[in-house]
Amino acid sequence: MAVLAALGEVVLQRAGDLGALLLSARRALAAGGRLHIDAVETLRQTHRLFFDAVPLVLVAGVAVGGVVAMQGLMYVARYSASEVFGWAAALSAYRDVGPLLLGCGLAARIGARVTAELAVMAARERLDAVRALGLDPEPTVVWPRLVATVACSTLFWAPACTLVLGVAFVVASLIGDQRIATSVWSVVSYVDAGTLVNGLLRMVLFGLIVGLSSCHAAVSVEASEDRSAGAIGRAVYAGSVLSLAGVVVANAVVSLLGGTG
Amino acid sequence: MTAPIATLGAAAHAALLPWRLPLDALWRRLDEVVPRSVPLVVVTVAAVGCALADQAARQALRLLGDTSFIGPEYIVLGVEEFGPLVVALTLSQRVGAGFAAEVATLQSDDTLDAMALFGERPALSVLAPMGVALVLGAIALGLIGFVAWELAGMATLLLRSGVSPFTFFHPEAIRGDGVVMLVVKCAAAGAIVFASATSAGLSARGGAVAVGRAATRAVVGGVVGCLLCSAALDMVWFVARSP
Repeated sequence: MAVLAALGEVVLQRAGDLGALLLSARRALAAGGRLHIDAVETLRQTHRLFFDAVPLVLVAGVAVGGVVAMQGLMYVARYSASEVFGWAAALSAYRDVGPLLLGCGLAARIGARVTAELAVMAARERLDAVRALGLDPEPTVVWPRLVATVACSTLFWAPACTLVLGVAFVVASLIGDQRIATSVWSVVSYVDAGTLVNGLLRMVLFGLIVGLSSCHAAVSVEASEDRSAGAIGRAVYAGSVLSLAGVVVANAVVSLLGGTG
Repeated sequence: MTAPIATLGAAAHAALLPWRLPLDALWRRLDEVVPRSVPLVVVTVAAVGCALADQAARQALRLLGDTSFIGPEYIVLGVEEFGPLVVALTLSQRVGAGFAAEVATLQSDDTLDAMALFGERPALSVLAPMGVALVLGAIALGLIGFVAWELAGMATLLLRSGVSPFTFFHPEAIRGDGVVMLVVKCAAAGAIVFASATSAGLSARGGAVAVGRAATRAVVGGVVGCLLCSAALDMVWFVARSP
């Protein structure tokens, strides 16, 4: 019964969150369409969040590369299929496993940071102070962070996934005697542009989900009466959970709707 | 302020002797980790399983015209690789952030010091139950996640490619050492999430800003630690299995 009650609670919570997220997305898109977002602040946030996440992306890229290599090597060993290792690793790195795990990493680094910052601003009534100055906090404080999250996610895709692939090739050559030249040849021969476009679109979508989830979780602190330190922690927690669930579900939907490319 | 390294060490030591921990605190933490994480774990593992099963089936049909070999490979992937990894990431984001925020709040408002002053041992009564619950809970969630993974794969292949669940389900493909791998990976993930959350929480200085920063650090540390641990264990396993 406890599991069912928890499941029902989660479904209700997520349904409420999804509705609020869609409303936020609509307002953000409308603001973006009217160019009603502070461009300088957006660039500043993009620069800050991007360079802040570089160490995490480097470490996560190496770890994900190791996972991709080991996953491929098991099949190479079982089916003697060293010719297709590069193709399978590229598919994982650029489209399936790479964007998914990097999306989870970005949800942890950028998403949690954005949530914590905005939640502190909401709890300390700094958003009210922005309003008192006659400014709307959404286009000046909240949406720039959302756009910056999407921009960082998009900018990280090519270097991070190439790092994942490079590490996978090196690990496979060191542990599994898989020649790097054969792996590169396999990528050049079999990987098509559709795979790359699919992966890039996934990262853009994951960035949007992480940004929306983080901003939504943080701004909800303003609506609640509890503005203690515990409320900030709960906002970070809620943003992380929402981001993770959003990223994996979006990944499944894109995979089911997308083609094999 | 409670010294982070000494407290973490004392908590880890106490967690190694779980029978000495207060039972009610342990049950409460287990309840937080397992039943409350089940919905999220099931959704995330099943979503990743759906995506991979569908893509594997489509690639197999496109290249080989045959999907019969996917079932045995998919079940092994769930036990040894993606089941434990997705459970670890979910625990980092859900439980890691929550525990870190709680410990950071206790640390920043000096509650841990007050407990010590009144003769209580916070490492034993607060932190160690979190560690034991995370390790045991991660293993339980790994097994639950594996069931969700297999069911998601069966449903996806049935609905998308018309593959019968009886054709798809190959429990004989799971090796004993694969199950050991699942348990080891999940236990390691639980320990990493605990270490990351507790060290981030105990290092918190100040008020609300510090709590937010601690929760962020815990999530980042947990995610990166679990990814690195998974890759390292895979490599050790591959080398150990190689003839």
